[in-house]
Amino acid sequence: MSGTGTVGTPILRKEDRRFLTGRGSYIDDLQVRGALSVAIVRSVQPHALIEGIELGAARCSGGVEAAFAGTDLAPLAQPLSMAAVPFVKHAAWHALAVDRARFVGEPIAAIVATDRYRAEDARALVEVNYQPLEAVVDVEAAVRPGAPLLYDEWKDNLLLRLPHEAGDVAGAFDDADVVLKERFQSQRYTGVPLETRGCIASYEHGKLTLWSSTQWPFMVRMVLAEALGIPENRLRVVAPDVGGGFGNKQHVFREELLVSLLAVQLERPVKWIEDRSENLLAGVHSREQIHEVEIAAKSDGRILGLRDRILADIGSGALYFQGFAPAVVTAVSVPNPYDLPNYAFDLACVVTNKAPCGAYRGFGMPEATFAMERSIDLVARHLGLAPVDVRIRNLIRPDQMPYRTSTGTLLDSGDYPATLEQAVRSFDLPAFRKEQERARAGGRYLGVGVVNFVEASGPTMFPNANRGGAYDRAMVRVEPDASVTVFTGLTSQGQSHETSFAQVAADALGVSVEAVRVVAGDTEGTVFGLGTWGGRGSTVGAGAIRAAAEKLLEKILSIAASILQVPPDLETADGRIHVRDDPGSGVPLVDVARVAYHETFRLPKGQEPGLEAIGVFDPPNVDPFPDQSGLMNACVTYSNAAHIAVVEVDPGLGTVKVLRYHVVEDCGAMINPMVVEGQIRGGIAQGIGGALYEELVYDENGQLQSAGLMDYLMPTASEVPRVHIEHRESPAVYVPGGFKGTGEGGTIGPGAAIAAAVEDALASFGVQVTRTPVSPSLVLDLIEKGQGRWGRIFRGGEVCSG
Amino acid sequence: MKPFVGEREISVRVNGVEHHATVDVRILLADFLRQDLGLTGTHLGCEQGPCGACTVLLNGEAVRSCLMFAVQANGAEITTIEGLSRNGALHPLQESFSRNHALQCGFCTPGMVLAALDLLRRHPQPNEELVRAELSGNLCRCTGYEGIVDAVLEVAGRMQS
Repeated sequence: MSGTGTVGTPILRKEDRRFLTGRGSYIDDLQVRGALSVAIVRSVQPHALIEGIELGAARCSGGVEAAFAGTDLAPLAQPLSMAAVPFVKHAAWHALAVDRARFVGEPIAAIVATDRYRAEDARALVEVNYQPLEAVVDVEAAVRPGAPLLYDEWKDNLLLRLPHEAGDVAGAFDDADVVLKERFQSQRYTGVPLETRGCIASYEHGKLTLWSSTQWPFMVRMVLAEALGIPENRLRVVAPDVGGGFGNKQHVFREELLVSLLAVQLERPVKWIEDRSENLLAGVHSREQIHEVEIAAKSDGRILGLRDRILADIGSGALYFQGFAPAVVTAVSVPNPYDLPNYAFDLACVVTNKAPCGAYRGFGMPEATFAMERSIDLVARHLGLAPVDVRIRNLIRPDQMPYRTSTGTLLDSGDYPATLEQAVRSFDLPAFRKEQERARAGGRYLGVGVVNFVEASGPTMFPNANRGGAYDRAMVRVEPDASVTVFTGLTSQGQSHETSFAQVAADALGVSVEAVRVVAGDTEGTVFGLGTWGGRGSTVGAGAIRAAAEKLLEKILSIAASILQVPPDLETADGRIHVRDDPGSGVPLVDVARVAYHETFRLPKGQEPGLEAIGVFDPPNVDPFPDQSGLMNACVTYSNAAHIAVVEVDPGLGTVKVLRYHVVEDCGAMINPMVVEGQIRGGIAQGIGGALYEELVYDENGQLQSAGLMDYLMPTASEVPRVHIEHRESPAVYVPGGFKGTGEGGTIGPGAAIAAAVEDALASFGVQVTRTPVSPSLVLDLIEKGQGRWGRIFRGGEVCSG
Repeated sequence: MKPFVGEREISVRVNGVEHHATVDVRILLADFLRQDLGLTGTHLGCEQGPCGACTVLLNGEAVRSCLMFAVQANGAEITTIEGLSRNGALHPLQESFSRNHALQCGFCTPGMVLAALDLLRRHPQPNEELVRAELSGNLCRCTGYEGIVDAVLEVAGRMQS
C-alpha cells in the first residue's frame, strides 16, 4: 500500500455532526410505535424476605396496563447466572427478585403504563411487605464467621477465593533489610456515564427486538436468548448511539431481561429508561477493595518480594458478569511494571448487601496501581530514597522484554525506565521544587506525585464470563459504486470508531476516509463480534478490519491486474489501483467494482462476483484460561505510562486542587492521536474524580447516601486541569500495525499520583495517604493524626502545631 | 379514579417556530420538547439539576429544562440545540467543538454548546478560568473538558477579531 494514509494523523471526526446538531439517536430518542413505559419498584431494604407485594392499587391507577411481581415473571424465563464460569460459587437471579431482596435498589416489581409519569404515579401506590433479615454492609464483617449470609447454600459470603504464589516469597522476605506493612483502600465508585441505562423491547411474529444502551449487543443477545428460550436467530439486539459506557454498560442487565419478558407477555413494545437515582442506586458499582500489603526490600531500594491480601467487595453479586473479574485483574496486575518475580496474592471476592459491582474503566488496574505505587513510595520514604529512584531501580528494563510476570502476563514491549525518566525530565522536577519552596514561604502547600503503571488491552473473555474469546471480526465491502462499508463487531460509546476504523480501512484499501462508512451495533446489521471494552478498539477491532481489508485488497488487485493486463504487482492510492511506482497508470476502484458486480464475465479465473471479505483478528499470544500453575496471559498487548500530578492543599479546609497533570505514555502506534489524547484526558478526569471526589456511600443500614449528583460529586471543568501529554512508541508485538489500547490508562494513574502529591504537599505534617477519595475530611483527619503533631490550630490563615 | 393532574394550553416559540399545545401541568419542559415537539437533542442526564445536559436558552437565558414545567415556559422564546445551525450551516461554536475534539459520546454536547453560547453572550472575552467556572454547571464524562475549553476560547478569540 502506498500513498498518503491517515492512520497516525489526527483527522477530525466524521461522527461529530449529528451530535453537535442534536440529531444523535440515543435510546430515549427512539420512537417505537405504541411503546409502553416501565417503572420499577425497587427494594428499600438491604436484606429482606419479600413476603408479599400489593399491586392492586397500582393496577387501578390511571394509564396502567399491567403490574408484575417477581413471582409472576419467574416461571417465564431462566434466571441469569454465572454458571458458565467454573471457579466461582453460583447464584442465580431473576429479572425481578422473587422471594428475597439483597440490596437497596434490587428490582422487585414492575409497573407498565402509557407513559413514564403514570407508571411512576402507580409505582408510588405499590406496597411491599418485607421481613427484614440481618444485613451485612461492611466487607470485613461479611467475611467474619457468623456473618449474615446472602446465599444460604454458600455457607459463607465468599464468591471466590483465589490464592497464588510465585517465585520464592518466603526467601525474599528472609533476605530483606526492611519489611513494611500497610493497608490501602479504594472506595466504591463507578463510571456514571452521562446517559443512564435504558432499553426498549418489541415482540412481533415470534421475533424479539431489543434496543439497548449497551457496549456488547451480541453478548446481550446470547445471554437473553438462553434466559428467554428464544433462538438467537429470532432475537435482534441493537445498540443505538450510546452516551458513554465506561464498562458500566458492558453487562447483561436484569432490566433488559425484564423489558423483553414484558414485551412478550403484553404483546406491546415496552420501554425502560433509568433515571439518575436508579443509575447510582442500582446500576453497576465498582472499585471497592482493601489491600493488606507486605513489601520486602533491600536498603538500596530493591524490592525483593510482595504479598497482597485483597478483599474485594462485589456487592450482592447479582450481575452478569460479576465483579470478580476486575478483582482478578487487580490481583494479577499489582507487580506490573516491576521486575518482581516473588509475588503472592490472596484474593477474596466477597458479597455484601449493596449494589452489585462490575466493570468500570481501568477494570481493577487503578486499584492495583494504587496499592503498588503507594507501597513503592512507602519503601522510598522509609529508606530515605527518592521515589523516582526506587522505581527506576525496580522497573522492568527494555532488555528484559518481552517479560513474563509472576502471574503469567506477557508484557510485549515498552521502555518503562525511559518513560518515567522522560516524564520527570520534561516536567522539570527541580524547577517544581523551587516553585514549591516559594509557595511554602507564601503559606501555600503544593505537592507533586510521580507514578507509573502498565495498561493491559485486548483481553480475553475468560475472567468475564468464560464465553467468547479474545478475537473480533469485521467485514469490509466495496459497494458497486466503490464507496466502502465496514461492518464491525465492536460498538462505540464515544470512542470515535466511525473515524478511526474508517482510517484503518481507508489506508488498507487506498481510498479516502470520506469514502468509508462504519456500521456497528445491530446484531442483524453487522458481523458477530464481542463488543467494546478493555481497549479492544485499536487492538482487535482495528486488527479485524485490517485483516478484512487486506483480504479484500488481494481480490481487488487481482481484478485490477486482469483489467490492466499486467501482473498483480500493483498498489492503491486515492481510489485508484496502479502499477507500482507508476501512479499515472491504473484504474479507478469503481472499474474494479463494475467487473465484480456487473461484468462478472470479465472476472479472472477463480474470482467470484462481489467485493466483500470477512476478517478476524484472534490474538495468538492470549491464553484461553490459566495453566496448571494458574499462570495466564490474558491480553494481546500492554501500554505503559508515567503520570505526574501537582496539587495544592489547603490544610485549614482540607481541600485538594489538582493544578497540573503531566503524562508520558506509550500506547504503541496510534491510529488517531487526537482520539488517543481525548481518551487519556477523559480517563484522567474520571481518575481525578476517584482520587478526590467520587464515592458511593452506604450507611450502616445499607442505605445509599449518595444517590444523586449533588452527593456523588463528579469533576467539572473547574476541577480538571490541562493535561500535558507526550507520546512514546513501542509497537505492540502481536497487533498488526503495532497499536496498543489506550482507553483505560487515564483512570489508572491519578489515584496513586494524587495521593503521593498530597503527602508531598503535607510532608511537614507527617501525613500518609492510604485510601481514596482524599476528601477534605480525610485530609483534616490525617493532619490531626500526623506524626509529631498534636492537632491543628488555625490562626490568622497559618496552620501551626499545638 | 379522580385524575390528580390538570391540563393547560401553552404557546411557545421554539427555534423560531410557534407551537400551541395542551399539556399536563406537570410535564417537564425537557419532556415537552423531547416528546411533544420531537426535539430530542435536549438530553436528560440527571433530572435533578447538577449535570446541565438539558440546558436550553429561554428568553435568552440558559436554563435547565429538567427543572421547569412546560407550563412555566408559556409565552417564552426557546432555543434548543436544533435551532443553532442555519440552513445546514453549523454555528461557529459547533465547528469549533469539532475542531477541538470537544465531544466524544455527544450526550453532554447540546447542553454544553448552549451553555457556552450563553457564556459568550455575557462574557465575549472570557479567560480560561472564567470559561471553566461558567461551564462547571455542565458535566462531561468523556473529554476531560480541555477540548471544550479550547473550543470556547477559540470562538471568543474569533468573535473579537
